[in-house]
Amino acid sequence: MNLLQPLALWALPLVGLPIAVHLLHRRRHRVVEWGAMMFLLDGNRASRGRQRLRELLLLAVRTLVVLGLVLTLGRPIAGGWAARVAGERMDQVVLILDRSSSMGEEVGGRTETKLAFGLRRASEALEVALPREVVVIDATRPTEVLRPESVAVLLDLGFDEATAAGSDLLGAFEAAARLIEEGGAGRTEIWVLSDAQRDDWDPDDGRWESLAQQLTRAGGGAGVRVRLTTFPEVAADNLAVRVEGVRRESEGEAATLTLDLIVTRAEASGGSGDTALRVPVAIEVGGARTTVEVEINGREGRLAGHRIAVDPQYESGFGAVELPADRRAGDDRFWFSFGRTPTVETALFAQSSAVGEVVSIAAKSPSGPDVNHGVRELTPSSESGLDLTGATLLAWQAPLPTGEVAAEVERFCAAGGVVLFLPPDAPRDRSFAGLAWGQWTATEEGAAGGTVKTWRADADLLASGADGTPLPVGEIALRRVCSIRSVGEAPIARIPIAGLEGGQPLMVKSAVGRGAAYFLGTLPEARSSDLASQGIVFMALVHRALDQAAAALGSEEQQAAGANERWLEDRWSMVASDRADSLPERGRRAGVLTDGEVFVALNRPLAEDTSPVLPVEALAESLAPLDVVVTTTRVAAEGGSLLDEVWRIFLFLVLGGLIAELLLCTPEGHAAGRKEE
Amino acid sequence: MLDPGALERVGRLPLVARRAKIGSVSGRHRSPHRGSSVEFAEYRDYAPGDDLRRLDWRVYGRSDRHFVKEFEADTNLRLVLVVDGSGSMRYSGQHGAGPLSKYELACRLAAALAQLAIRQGDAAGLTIAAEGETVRIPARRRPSHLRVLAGEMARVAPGGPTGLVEALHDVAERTERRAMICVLSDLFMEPEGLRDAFQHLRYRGHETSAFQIVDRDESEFRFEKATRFVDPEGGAPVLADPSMVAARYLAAWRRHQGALESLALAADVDLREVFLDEDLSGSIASFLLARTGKGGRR
Repeated sequence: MNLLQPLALWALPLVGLPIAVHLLHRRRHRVVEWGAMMFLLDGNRASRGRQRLRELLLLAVRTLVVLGLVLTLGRPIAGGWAARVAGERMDQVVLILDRSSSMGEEVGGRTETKLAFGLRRASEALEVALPREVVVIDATRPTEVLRPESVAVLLDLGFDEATAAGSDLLGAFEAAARLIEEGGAGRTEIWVLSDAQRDDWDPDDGRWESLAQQLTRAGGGAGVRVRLTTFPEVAADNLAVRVEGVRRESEGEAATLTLDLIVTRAEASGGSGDTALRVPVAIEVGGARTTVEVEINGREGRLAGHRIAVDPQYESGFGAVELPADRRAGDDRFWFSFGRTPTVETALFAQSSAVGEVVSIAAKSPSGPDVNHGVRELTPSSESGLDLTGATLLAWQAPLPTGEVAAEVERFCAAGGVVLFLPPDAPRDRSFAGLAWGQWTATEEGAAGGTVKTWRADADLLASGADGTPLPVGEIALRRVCSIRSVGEAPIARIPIAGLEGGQPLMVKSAVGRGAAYFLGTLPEARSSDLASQGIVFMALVHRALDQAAAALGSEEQQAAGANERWLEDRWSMVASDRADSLPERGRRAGVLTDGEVFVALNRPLAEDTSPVLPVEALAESLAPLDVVVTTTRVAAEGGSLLDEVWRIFLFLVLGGLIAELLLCTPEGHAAGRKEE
Repeated sequence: MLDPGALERVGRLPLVARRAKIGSVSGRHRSPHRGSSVEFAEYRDYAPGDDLRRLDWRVYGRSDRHFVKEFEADTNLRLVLVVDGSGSMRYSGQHGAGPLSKYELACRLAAALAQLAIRQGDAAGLTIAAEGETVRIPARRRPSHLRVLAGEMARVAPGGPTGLVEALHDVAERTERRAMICVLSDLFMEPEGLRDAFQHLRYRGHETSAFQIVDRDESEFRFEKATRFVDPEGGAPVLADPSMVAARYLAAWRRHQGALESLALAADVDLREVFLDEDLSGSIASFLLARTGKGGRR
């Protein structure tokens, strides 16, 4: 047991007070000359032993009451030497730190961030709890586990600074579970400091359930306790700036940079709400700084198509937009970079050269002046797998991939890429993302079976145009159709995009990670349909797939900060950052990296600005059936502890002592005497 | 010492013996002897109501003053007052603030009884069982004898262990004629010893009354805080928490009182409890009334 307020121990001499009073009381007896001694001796002889015992008990109780009060004032906590004596000392504390950008917010009228405050409190608590081992997992990079030599150095490791990355709390918990499993039995606690942003926690992920079970098993009989410290306060009127688009355009000798900005205001009680606000935004490019005002109405203000002249000799470069400093420093600046016109690449693998040609034509046709479209033909092999680096769309007209190739395609989809599967000449019994090819069937041209009956016109690849004009999907003539089968059970989301008469699907989407796999049940060549000769539907389909994938994958130049091994390679160096470049944190800090050819701007993920805060119950629910102790910490308040405060027990002991004292002081003799009378 | 007010309130109630007394002169009290010889004792001033036959005319002729001749054998009641002068009789209430100690009350009672006896022509004697001495004043019927008695009672300071039982045996032996014995004490002693003494007095034909003088502190044990009780008779002091000992004390008290009452009944002793805070005249009146056969509280 240790005390959170050890100064209270100065009051310990007060324990001597009852003893002093007792001794004084012994000397301060009234003296009476008493004739009727013969009766008194008779009564006193019998009760002398009892009286002495009662006096001693009273003295002990009074001393313990004062001691209990002093200890209660000292705010005792379980752990430390008392726990060691009782054999309950904690073996391991796994400290999971949510170092996401939003944890860098200052709250409660102090210059300390949520992360720094939480870490300081955790460090204080650890010094008291004295576990055998402390392991730190940084949730922005959960693959790395740090074991500080001592609790004292915890604050010197730079963990108190938030990164620009998002956190992967689930990954951090999984790492913790592995650690606990490897460490064997022992009393382990997981301490989490987080502001509970939904995107950092991702409570809907199915892995939470198995994780909680894994942790329960790992803890053995001792169990694993999770102490969750959340920071629900959000700074009122916090503003965040973000660059949504950067385009460099050159006209003759001059070059201009076109920026699309958005400034968002935090939704917080006590803020100024929806009142209009003009915010100065500084834009810095190549050492030149200009300021523009952005008007915020409601929760956001936009500045679209803001043009800045740049030196035409620089084809690429970088810059930053900046807001006046507020409570959350991490979202007041946004880095951007620009370069030559980007290339959107389609990776193509087609058995049929005719099909390959049509896809290639559709993918290469320009969609705008600032985008270059490229097509790369693939030759996948089972040994070397598939190289999809730089690809945005994968068009696949061959038997569905298997093994390593299938895994690579899945990774590509998960990252945001889109795959368009076209039926092979001879479909095999293979599946991908819950879908498989069936058999080819010929349709009678002109008949009902040869046209598309239904398609999604509200969204996705066959949606109507912005002005509401539908794509002429219904006019496509189908000569033969390859059926699409669903394989396996949900939860894979399979969405029909287009269908034939009788409900037979012609095009089905299966979501994979952030991307998708589309199965189109016919081919853009004369033998199967007139998709190639009609052209417009197929081209719209391919370009929309490219746009969708490009949006999901993000542009090469603007990336979300995060733990990515790529940035640790030697060829990358930091050319601009809020803080000094440090290799382990590179990629998780906001700034601009370059490999000599390309500038890459790293910024906080969009979710850090927009993700709502999860209620505490939702977090505890994610971790059920573990023993979860939630501490909701207000940074303004110094109160609250990460440890088990046991002062209530002492208070109850004091109350018990007072009741015992009352009983001991009750003149039972008188009462008994009256009863006898 | 003498309390005229108390006697005034008692009025003219006579002090009457319940049994026949040995006396020489017929008078208020029955006597087993008739026609005994007359022995001159003293002259005293004539008081209205005195028998004119007793007036000494010769003295009147010589001095022109009325004197009545008194004879020793006229004493037909001998009242022997036995006062306990032990340390326990010094108690005067819990805070020591009572108007009288038990000894003083005993003396006042004794003086009042003596005055009553002498006023009606009886003789009164005194024995004080004090520390280291037993004061004995023989019974006389002279009014001036009252001053002697009062002087002795005032001289003696109560203290030490009680010698009452021995004093009672002594009175029983020394008082030759049958007498009325009044014991004034708190009777804080073993009842066995007292029983023997009372039986001895009865055997000698004396009529015994006992005034047990106590304070309500003693009978009710009215203490709240822990107190150090010091024995005035020289015993070891006792530190006691009243809440712890009260029940046993009161039980012992009741046992003792029960024993006293039964031995008083056996020895035909008129036992009366007198509290320090009681009106003295009430106690005397009750005592006298009981003797005239008109009732009275015991």
